[in-house]
This record gives sequence, C-alpha cells and structure tokens, in this order.
Amino acid sequence: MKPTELHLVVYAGLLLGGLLTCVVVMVVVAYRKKQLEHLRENEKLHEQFKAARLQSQIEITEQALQSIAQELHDNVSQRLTIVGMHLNSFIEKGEIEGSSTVAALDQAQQELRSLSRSLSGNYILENGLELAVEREALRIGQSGAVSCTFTSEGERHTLSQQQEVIMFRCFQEAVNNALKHSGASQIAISMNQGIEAVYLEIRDNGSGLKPAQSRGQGLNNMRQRMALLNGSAVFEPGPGGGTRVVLLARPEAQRATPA
Amino acid sequence: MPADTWVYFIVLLVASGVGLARYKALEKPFKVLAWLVWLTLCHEVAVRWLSATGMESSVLYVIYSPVSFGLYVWIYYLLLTGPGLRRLMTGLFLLVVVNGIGLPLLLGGFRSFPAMPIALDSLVVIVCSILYFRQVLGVVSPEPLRNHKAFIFNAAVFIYWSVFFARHGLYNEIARSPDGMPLIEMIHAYVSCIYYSVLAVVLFKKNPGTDT
Repeated sequence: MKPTELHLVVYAGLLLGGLLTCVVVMVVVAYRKKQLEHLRENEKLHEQFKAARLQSQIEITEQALQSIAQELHDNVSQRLTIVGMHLNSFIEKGEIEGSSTVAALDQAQQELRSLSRSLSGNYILENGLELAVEREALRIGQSGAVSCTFTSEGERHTLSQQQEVIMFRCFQEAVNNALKHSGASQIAISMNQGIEAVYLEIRDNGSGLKPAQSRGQGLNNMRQRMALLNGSAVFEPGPGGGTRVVLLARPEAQRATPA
Repeated sequence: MPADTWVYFIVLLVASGVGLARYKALEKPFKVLAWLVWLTLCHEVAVRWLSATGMESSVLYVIYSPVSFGLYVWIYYLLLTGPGLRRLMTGLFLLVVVNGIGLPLLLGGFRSFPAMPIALDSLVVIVCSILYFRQVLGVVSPEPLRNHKAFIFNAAVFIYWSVFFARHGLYNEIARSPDGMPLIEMIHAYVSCIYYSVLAVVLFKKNPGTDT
C-alpha cells in the first residue's frame, strides 16, 4: 500500500468516525424531539385535568349555593311570613304594640329574599349578569356598611350561562374581599360590555392589597376560574388608593382556538 | 512499549478500578460490563507478556473473543426489553459462542488469529447497539439522555465496534504496507483509550434514582 493510499484510508476512517458520531447525534436529536412532544402532551393533560377539577369544584359550589338559596326562600322565608302573620293578628287584636317589630321583620324578609336571589345561580341565568350585578350592588348599598355605586356601558353582550355564573361568583368574591379585608367606605362597580370582551371593575377606597395577599390562594383561585373563561382577573392598587379588581371574560365565539 | 500503549493500559486500569470500587452499587448490566473490562485488562496484559516472551498470543484471542462478545450480548440481553428481543439475544449469544469456538476450528485451528469470527461478532454487537437505539427512541423519559448510562455505553459501543469492524475489513490491505501496522496499532490504541475512558465514566456515573 502506497503512503497516499494509507492517507486515504486514514481519511476514510475519520469520515466513518464522523458519520457514526452523526448517527448518535441524530438519535439524541430525535429523542429530544420526542421528549419535548411528550412534555407538551403531559402539560396539556395536566392543564386539562386542572380545568376539569376546577370545573367540578365550581359545579359543586354552585349546587351548594343553590340549595342554600332554595332553603332560605322556601323554608326560612316562609316561616318568617308565618311569624309576621301571627304578629299582625296580635296587633289587630290589640294584644301587643309592635309596629316597629313588624317593620324590622319585613326588612329581614326582604334582605333574606335578596340574599337568596344573590346565592341562586338560576336568578343570574334568568335575569342576566348585568341585572344580577346591579341588584347585588344595590343590596350591598342598602346594607349600610358601605356606599356602593354601579355603572354600566356598552350593549349587552352574550356570555354563555356558565360564563355569567362564574363571572358573577368572582365578582361576589371580589366585593366580599373589599367588605371584609379592606375597611373601605366606598365601592364603585362598573361594567363595560364590548364586542370582544366583558369587563367588570370593582374599585374600593380601602387599605389596598398587601403583596402577600395578592399571591394568596383565594385570588389565585379567582384567576384560575376566570382563565377557564379564557379571561383574566387582575388585582392592582387603585389610582387613588384602595384596590382595583378587573374581571374580563370573552364570549365563547371570541375564545382563542389552539393553532 | 510505545507511549500510546502505556496510556491505553492506564485507562484500562482506571476503568477496572472504577468498576471494582463501584461494583456493589452497579446495576446488573453494568456489573457484567465491569467483568468485561477486567477480562480485557487481563487479556491485554497476557497478550503483551506472551509477545514480550516471544510466544504465540493468537490462542488467547480464541478464548477472549467468544467470552468478551458473549458478555456484550449478555449486557444487551439485560438492557433490551420485550420477549421477542430477549429470544433474539439468546440466539445471538449462542451464535457468538458457536462462532467463537467453531469457526477458528474450521478455518485453521486455535493457533491463528481469529479475524473472521471477531469480524462477525463485532457485527453482532453493532446490531445489538442499533436495536438499543431503536428501543431508546420508543420509550421517552423526562430525564435527558446524557444522564442515561446505558445510552452513553451504547453510543460508545456503536462507534467503537463500527470503526473496529471497518479496520478489520481493511486489515490485510493496510498490513501490507511497512507503515501500515504501526498506524493500525496507533489508531487502535487511541480509539481504545477513548472507548475505555467512556466505559470508565459509565461505570463511575450514577443512574438518577436507581443505583446509589
């Protein structure tokens, strides 16, 4: 074998080594690709599982609220009506003097009915989100704990029934947070219904969100529920102090479809 | 003895030491790999000793070749899963043993270098490594491949034995040239150094979540 042929053999050997290394690299690349696909699939399944779990939680909560509302309306309210009738008959007979008690009882009955409505998912479905929010704002204002205003802009836009219920529950939770934790004296609720989305803003003049609170389980839960509607829940400091909560939901037709 | 052969021996010694130190913690296929490395070290020492004393060393290859290739097939028997593959591995094991003992007898007895059986056995090992690549691509785990000892071992086996097979095919051609034999020896020493270094790493490496 001549030296040139020998060199050729060496080069061929190097080429072979390079080719074999390429084969191994190709296996690694193919494996990595499969691994990424597998990972994406897992993440998708995980997200689906989380969404399904959240969905069932919402359904269970809704059922519980519905049965409480039913109980308040059918049982407690009826009993109060009977108590009122007895009281009236005593007053008519002149046995007792109790006009202020009757007025208090009427007010209690009204509040109970209004509470029953606000808990009932059917009430939201029958009257629509806008009216349900307006009534809720009125109820809070009438309670006397805070002053509550409601404004609405835009034409009524169709969210699905489930979207309306979920958004209403998130709204209730946001208002409840403001009442319980912020020490606010004013709550301003505004609704803006556009073609692409429905916005619901809850602003209070309370102490504002602490950083730890903004990462709390309750707010995260609201974020997740709104994400189910392909929407969002934003919690931020209000422009003049206090807290501003913006809930956004997109109608079903506007939902982003995966590519 | 040339410097590259000394380096080769040192690498073999290190790989054997690592196998010995980590033997208890190793999984079964890698325990077999440790035996293979020890066997290779013993074989290489014996070959050099026989050559130094002027005695014929070909007979050692006739023993070493079927045993070492049998160990390779055993490793793959343990690494490859699936009933069909296990049966195939058993068949290949028998083939390697019969080929290692039967062919030298047919082709010229135990006193000549068993070039043909070694070429056939290396082909068997290459087939095993390709089957393992196929298995790796079929089962995806979240762990990156660099953490899979078996994959590193398999990649090293695939490249080493493919190069070895090619070298074997050109052996007679190259050996005719006066510069050919030293060149073959040098390439063999370099490639083997890299190969056994990788095997030392494989024996040293811990499998995530399995061995200690």
